[in-house]
Amino acid sequence: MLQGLLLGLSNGAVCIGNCAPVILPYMLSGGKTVQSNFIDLFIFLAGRFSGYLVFAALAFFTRKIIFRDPVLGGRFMAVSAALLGAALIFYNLWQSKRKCEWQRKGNLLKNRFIGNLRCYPWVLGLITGINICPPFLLVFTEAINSNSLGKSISFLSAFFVGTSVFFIPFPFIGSLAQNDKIKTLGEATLYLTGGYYLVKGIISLGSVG
Amino acid sequence: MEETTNILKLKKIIRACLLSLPMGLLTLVMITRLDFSDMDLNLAKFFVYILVNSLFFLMIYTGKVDRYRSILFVTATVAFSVSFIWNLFLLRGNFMVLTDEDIASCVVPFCHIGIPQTLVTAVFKQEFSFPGTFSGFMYTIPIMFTIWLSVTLVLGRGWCSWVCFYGGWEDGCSRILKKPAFKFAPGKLLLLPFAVLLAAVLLSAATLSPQYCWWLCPFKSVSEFPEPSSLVRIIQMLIMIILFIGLVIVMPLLTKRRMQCALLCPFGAMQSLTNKISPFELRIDRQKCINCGQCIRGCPVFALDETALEKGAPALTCLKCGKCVDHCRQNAIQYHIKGTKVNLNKGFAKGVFLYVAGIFLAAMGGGFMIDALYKIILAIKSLVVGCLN
Repeated sequence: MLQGLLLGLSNGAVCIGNCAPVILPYMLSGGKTVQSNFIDLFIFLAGRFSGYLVFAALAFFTRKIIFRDPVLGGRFMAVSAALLGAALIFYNLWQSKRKCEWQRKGNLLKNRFIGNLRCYPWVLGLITGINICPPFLLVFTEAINSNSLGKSISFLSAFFVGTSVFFIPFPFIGSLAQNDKIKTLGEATLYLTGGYYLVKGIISLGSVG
Repeated sequence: MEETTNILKLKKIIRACLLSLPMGLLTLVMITRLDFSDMDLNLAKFFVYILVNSLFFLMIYTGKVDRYRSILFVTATVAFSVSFIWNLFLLRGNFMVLTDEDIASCVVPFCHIGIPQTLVTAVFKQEFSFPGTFSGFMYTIPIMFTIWLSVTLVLGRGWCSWVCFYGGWEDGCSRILKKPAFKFAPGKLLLLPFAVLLAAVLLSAATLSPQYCWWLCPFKSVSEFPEPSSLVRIIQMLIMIILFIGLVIVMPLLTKRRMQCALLCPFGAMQSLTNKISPFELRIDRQKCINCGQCIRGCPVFALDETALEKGAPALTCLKCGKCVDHCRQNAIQYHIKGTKVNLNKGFAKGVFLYVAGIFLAAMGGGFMIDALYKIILAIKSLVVGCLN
């Protein structure tokens, strides 16, 4: 466990670097208080952890890391990047206060299928967790080489705790969005990062075939 | 009466000559480097020296900053592209195409627009996210960082109207028509460069690659661009061409504003923040201002509006180009040095600013102009010799 924690702490900077394009604009576009941002962060991290658990278990049982397969891994990464991009753009459209036709449709969807946006950080965390996290490959390797699933999960949990420490500043930065201009800035950034992942995912999917 | 006017005019000329003299001496050293061995190079240096100093003299003599700055700025920008592309051809054997090999060998010239993307990644991840070089090639990373830091500390976003070697394209296009074809109200779009900055910095840190440079930079069209060898590269190239034509040529032409600087450039957004540390700023004298709106209509990056007039200072995005100073018939807008009293010695603040900014423009732009002119002279000479033989 200590090894996992230390590995998490030493890789934290890389982890926030990979998650920041998702979580920072998300928080800036929300215009919420520090407390609400901490709740969102907790849900986001829970989503990320769920993604890790699922794929670590998969790696343990199949003894194979899907991401290392050039074709299958490539397709998987491309689809998850496109999904992440679409999720960010979709969230932003919902959040938007503009009374356009698109939003009206969005609200209908929201009421019918989702009901509450509270789970959205979990979805984002899940897709981010399975998508763009290079240090996580280390953990998968550990899961493959381990003889016990319990031991693997405890290693993974410790790694997760170690990296999560680095996310603490985000809710504070996110609270700046109580200023209208910064909130608009966050929304625009969310569109840009969402667009980037969506386009990149679609193009990668086309390239992988 | 006529005699008095002539005497006054003569006095004004002598004063402008005396004030321009130190600049003449400084640029003599900077431009010639006191090396007169190559005759063709001397010719290029002579033309550039005369151009720089006559425009500086006119700035002092007429008091019009932007009118003469823009001539030098646009010329320097065009000269940069000529010089840069020519040098690329000499070094690599192709004009503007950046091959995968060049990228892999990290011999991509580094430009200032890459600074925010690389700076944040270097600080937080101890990695450098630009395939540039630290020595042995043109436009190395340390040189660009040093130039950027020294100019930024003094001019802040003044970089964008005095030093940037791309800005002249828009500046030039925005001056072609006498009146704008249509009025453009940017509203919340003015926040877009800051969003592009944030997204570019975050994505570059995540991918360890300068994502703005790959995807959005329109100025690859006048410098170099990656070889369109894959679907991604072709899409990136299309985006580059569309943004260049749209934001650098067509929109500035139709609106008489620098649209790329105002609505896209992440480097400009970062420079806006550095305006806080620059000792120079522009101030509006509320007592002289008659709210005619000339300055608001003239500002190339929408840094002036009614709120700014009320506050007595332009917004953070001010380029310090001096267009509003030229446009104001009441002489209500003036350069100001922070920490000094407003309305005290206005000519002094303007003079100091013109010297500092002028030296940077002469140093950067002068170098490009000499190099471009020298290459053109050599090309003409070899063409003439070829024809004669």
